[in-house]
Amino acid sequence: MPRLPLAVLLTCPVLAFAQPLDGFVTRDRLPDPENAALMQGGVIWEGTCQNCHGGNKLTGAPKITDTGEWAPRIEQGFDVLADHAINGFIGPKYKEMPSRGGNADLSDDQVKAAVAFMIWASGGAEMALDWAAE
Amino acid sequence: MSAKFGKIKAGFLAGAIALGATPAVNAEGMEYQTVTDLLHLVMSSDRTVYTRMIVNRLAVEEGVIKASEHFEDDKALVLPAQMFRFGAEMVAEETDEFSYSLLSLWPINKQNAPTTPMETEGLEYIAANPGENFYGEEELGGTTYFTAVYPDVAVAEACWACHNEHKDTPRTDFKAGDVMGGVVIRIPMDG
Repeated sequence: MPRLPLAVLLTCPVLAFAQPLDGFVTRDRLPDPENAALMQGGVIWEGTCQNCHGGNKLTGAPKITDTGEWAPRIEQGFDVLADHAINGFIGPKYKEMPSRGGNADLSDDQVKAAVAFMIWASGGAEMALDWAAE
Repeated sequence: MSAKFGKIKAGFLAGAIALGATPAVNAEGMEYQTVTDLLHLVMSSDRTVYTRMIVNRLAVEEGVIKASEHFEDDKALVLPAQMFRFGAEMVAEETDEFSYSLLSLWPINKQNAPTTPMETEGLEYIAANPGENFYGEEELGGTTYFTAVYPDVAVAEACWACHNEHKDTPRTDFKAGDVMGGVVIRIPMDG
């Protein structure tokens, strides 16, 4: 499938995350969500999650915007993903997701907001917006 | 950082890394950078497997044994970084065709600090440029070496937690995904 230029992707919300962004993805390479809770989640994501989920292959963390990696995770539901992020998780291949991304200072709600932002940017916009609406 | 360097007759390395699907090693040889990249792929894969399938499975998930720096006294698993170092020591006993080590700008053990200007340059480069490797040439003791430096990243909470809390650590703010050091692979080019 041909890759669309980033400028085109960012002007088209439906297609914006149809392809993972190339290279290491920092927060400033991603569009801003209109929802305030998701926007705040993006701030938290940048501070704690980006280091691994920006595309740091050595950590084994699924890369933000990689919808192929995220689809089976999103299928598990928001509560499961939030639980894994808050309490930590050892995956099927023994990859480690550290509790709160290793940042013990984050509250449960802050972790959930960061998870929602990552889901929103990785093919699960509807699920993320449902969480934000609650 | 990418650069084209000379080629190496890499047959001996093809045997050393024992990759069944290794790209063909032809009579023209293989780029030094390709050789170090392949060596590092094997090293990092083996270490990752040990970290996940042994340490994470038995120490974190099952909780049946610990992994400890003092593994003999504690009757514990060796840490992944120690496993890596023991491999490097074994290779050094077997060959001088290449060498590797795990170094850091913030070592707990001062013996693991960089000792050459290129090691320092490489470690600083990979720390400042996440996801990138460093390649260069340096002359040591009259021999020219191809030197590659690959990022060593905090992949498990045990890694950064231990380094941050260790009494001898010069840095206490490591977090997940940070570059904590680098794997330095060196091949003599004069042979």
